[in-house]
Amino acid sequence: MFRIRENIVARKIHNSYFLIDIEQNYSSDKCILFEINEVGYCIWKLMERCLDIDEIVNELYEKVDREVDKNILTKDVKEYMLGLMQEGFVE
Amino acid sequence: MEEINEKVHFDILNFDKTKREEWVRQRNPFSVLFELTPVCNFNCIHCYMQNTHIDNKLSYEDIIHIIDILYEKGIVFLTFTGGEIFTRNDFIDIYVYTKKRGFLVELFTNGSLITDDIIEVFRKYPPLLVDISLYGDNEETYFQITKVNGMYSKVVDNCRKLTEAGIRVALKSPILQMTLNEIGGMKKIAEKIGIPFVYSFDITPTIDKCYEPLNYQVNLDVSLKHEFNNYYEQVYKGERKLGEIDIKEIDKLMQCEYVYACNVAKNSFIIDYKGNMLPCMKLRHKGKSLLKEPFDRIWDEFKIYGEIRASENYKCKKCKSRYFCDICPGEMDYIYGDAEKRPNVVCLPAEIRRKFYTGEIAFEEAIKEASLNN
Repeated sequence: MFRIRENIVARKIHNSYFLIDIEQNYSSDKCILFEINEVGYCIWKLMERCLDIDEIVNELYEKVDREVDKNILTKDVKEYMLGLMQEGFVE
Repeated sequence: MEEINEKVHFDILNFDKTKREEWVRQRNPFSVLFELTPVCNFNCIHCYMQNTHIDNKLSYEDIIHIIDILYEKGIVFLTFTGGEIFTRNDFIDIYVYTKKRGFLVELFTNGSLITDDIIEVFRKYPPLLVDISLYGDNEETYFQITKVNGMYSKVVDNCRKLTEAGIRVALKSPILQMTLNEIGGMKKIAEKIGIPFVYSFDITPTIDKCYEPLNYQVNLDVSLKHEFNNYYEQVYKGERKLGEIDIKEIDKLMQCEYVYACNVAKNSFIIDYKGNMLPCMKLRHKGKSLLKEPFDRIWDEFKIYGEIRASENYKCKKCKSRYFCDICPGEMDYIYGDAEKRPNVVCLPAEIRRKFYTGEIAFEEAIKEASLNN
């Protein structure tokens, strides 16, 4: 199960969504806000509730308007979470 | 007009530039300066709040409530200032709360009250920048200005400690007559620690309209001499081109039909120590209480400042020196009750600058013209 790192905060800022590392030390004078989309933000919020992947997929499946293949949705969610792990936002 | 001395270069918001442009276009606020307290442990002779170092007006709960509003409204950059922010016993609680909400936090401080415990908190939750005001390069001058003994070494030591802890620090100094000859010394302090240093000659009256601070202001010819020498230095280093001016921007300002040609209340605003929301620092008298009125209504009302059309008699309209001018209509509104008021004396620095930067007059002539009007 993927776990959100406690130094990462998700924020909605003027219809955009960002993951912010509150412990980043701005070395090399760089400050990074990692932009995600609305679905990514939704998944993050579900992860904040400590849901596992299947629970997250079920919640998302209920929210989407169009017909979605649940297997594809699961694959996409896993891929997204792997991406977050690679960026250091989840462990 | 560009600042004349070293800037803190910082590549922030590492995301698509169009996002920021979109926020600007849509007038989405994303930056706030928040005065947490009027209280200060210094009593600086030039301070614009020197008669206002009274009790805190905002409780911890008031401040958290305001921060929650700023969070909801999409503010990203939040700068805390005072007074002196570290005089608040609850400052670290406020700071950590703000960081955990995902703000990018900058701190304006005199740097004298930073303890090792505070530095440890900053190690875990780094501020974007700790911007420290420096008032000279020795204890004697420091006392002359701040009226508190022993602060120079304390401040410099704290700068060093913060930097060694990996915290981003910058120094800035409002230059007064007594620190004019210490600019070089202050530069060296910054260089030794390895941090940026900027300075300014801009001194303003107090917020209760006392002009005492202006008695310590450096004369116009001296400040322009520094400005123009800095310009030559930048040209020498290849950072600027001699005689190169932004014609497009100059023309744009000349064509500007509005009283406020700046970005007042477009994407930023101020919260003062009473919890009032201000369009900018100079329009303190136009503040509205964020504790009593809804944010959206105030933000909507502030839109007017960017839309006030200038009268036919507005001096700045079609003024070819407007690009070189740092006079603020908001300040004129505060002092004279008239944003369009321009006593002749306030126009002089801009005219001299224009003539110098366009090559119309040489350095010596520019300084002589300024000295005749000290």
